[in-house]
Amino acid sequence: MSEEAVTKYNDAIVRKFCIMAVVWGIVGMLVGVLAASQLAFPVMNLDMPSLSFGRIRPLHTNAVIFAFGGCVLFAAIYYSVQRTCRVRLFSDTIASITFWGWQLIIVLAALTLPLGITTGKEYAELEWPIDILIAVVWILLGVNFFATIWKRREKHIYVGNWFFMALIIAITVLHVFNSLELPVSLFKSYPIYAGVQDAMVQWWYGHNAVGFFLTAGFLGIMYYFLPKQANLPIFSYRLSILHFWTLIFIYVWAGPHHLLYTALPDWTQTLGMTFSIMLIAPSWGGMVNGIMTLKGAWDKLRTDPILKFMIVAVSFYGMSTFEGPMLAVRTVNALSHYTDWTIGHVHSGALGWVAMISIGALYYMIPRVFGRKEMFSSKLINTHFWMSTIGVLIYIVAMWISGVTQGLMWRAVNPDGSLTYTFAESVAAMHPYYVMRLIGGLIFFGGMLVMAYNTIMTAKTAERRLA
Amino acid sequence: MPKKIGHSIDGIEEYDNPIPRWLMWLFYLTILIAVVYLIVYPGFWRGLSGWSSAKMYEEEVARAEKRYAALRPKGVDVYALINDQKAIEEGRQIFARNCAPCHGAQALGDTGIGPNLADKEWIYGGKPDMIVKTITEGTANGMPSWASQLGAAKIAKVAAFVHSLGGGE
Repeated sequence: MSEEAVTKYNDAIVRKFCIMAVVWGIVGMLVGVLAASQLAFPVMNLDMPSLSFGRIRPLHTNAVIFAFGGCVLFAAIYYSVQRTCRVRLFSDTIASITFWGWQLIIVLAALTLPLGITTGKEYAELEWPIDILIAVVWILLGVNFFATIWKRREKHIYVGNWFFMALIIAITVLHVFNSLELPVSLFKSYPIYAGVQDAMVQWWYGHNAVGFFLTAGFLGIMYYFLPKQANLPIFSYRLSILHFWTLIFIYVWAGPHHLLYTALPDWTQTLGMTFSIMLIAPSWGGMVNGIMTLKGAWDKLRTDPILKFMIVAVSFYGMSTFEGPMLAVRTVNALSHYTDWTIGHVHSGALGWVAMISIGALYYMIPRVFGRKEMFSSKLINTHFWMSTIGVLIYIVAMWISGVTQGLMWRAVNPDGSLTYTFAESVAAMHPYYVMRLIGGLIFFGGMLVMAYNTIMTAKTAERRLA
Repeated sequence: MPKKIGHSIDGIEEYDNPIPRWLMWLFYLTILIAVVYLIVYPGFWRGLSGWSSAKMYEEEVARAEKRYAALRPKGVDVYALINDQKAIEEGRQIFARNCAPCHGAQALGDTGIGPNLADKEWIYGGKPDMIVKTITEGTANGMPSWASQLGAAKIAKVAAFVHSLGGGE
């Protein structure tokens, strides 16, 4: 089978993206650990502007979302679309251009962000020349993907590919419209939107970057790799149709929940909140379809660490898609907004769901694209699984406690109406949780190093077998 | 055994299971909550409850005014203290213990936290009663209220001291 795959499908491109996914995962999480250490121990800013928290933090988010997550998506899309369509990729050249283009974008981001070159828009910090490059590379991915779908030899378009289509179309629209800006120099531009409209467009983008990049894209990954790894049929075709359409229809309206109690008109805030609440069931549709697929085969979880990654990922997905709508409720948001609770929520999604399903998919793909049956060591996958799970749990528990503590300290009032705590006192109270978060992050990061070793050994032994 | 739909894509098959009832009910329930909320709060139109974030703010401020007005420090005439050397000296000592960490030992703002108080610039007003107000209520830029820690009498003395630093209006 592997020999046939080598000639029939373009797995060389998948191999490249898999390797870079591991590399950028390590880099991005290392920068995250640095940022976490700076919050616990300010001396870690190292007195260098380029390494200070304000510049390192966007580098971390860009690296883990677009470098790590992006490479995983490219790898998984290229791997699964060929197999679910039973044809080779439409164009190997375009695939190659998307690889080198995406890596160039990542390197440019890693250079410009520490230098302080930024638009200042969260998750869209990169300046206009890089924005154009992103649009070009992303559209090329779209061309390659849709053309592959077009020439498919399978009558039906598989559900995983619906999610990838939504991902590609939505991210194109979001990225292009949020990045409309007037350049004043090579390194500086200003958005064409002003004031509250700019904020509104920014969070329409920011929220749907989560909704389509980190949710739809990785649901596409789940729909292919979970049933493949478990070797079981998908629980419900009907559910996949319903939750796909409801998810993509409802997600795009929920952005204003990032702007509750701001200058945004009240009715728009209400709209964002109500659509967030209506998102619970469509989100859970994905979780239910994932978990129910394994129904009656729970014994596989004892022996298969890759499946463990996937099922824990789906569970975290269910948890954080419940937490999200709750945080979008006005009264809850009044307490939670601007606190570490938000950071905890993001990481239960980003580490628990996105990273864990990514790692599962990578462990599925890596041996296959290196012409091996399985990874070098299944035991090390298991070690990685426990490090990831323990790391993310420590992280989010720390942020829950610190977030709620912050929220309560900020609103505590003395009998005479004065504030009980100064802001600095609330910062001091966070210290133990920031240390705890750093430890959780370090453990999760350590797991990635285990993965790197396992990947290198898999690649090495594969070479020997081929030789 | 549930039925499968008739395709196998790269070996992946799909069951034709119905969508779990509880999930559908959850979906309907969230839609109902959303619609009711959109009717009660500003959404489709102003909303039945008449709530708005601006109104909520005004009501909270009014409530606080009513509740805390009685507790406001009063009866200490700061204008009587600005020429009283003994009061100013006491104010200097209170300043050294409470205010110097942010404003600097000489009140020059050299800590980088609080601004210089010894020059002619007054961000929140340099008249004695304005200084009292600033110390009592704190500022939006991060200075906390000192009402509960110092009390009206001490605040008046500190204000007299700060006023004496050369730039008082």
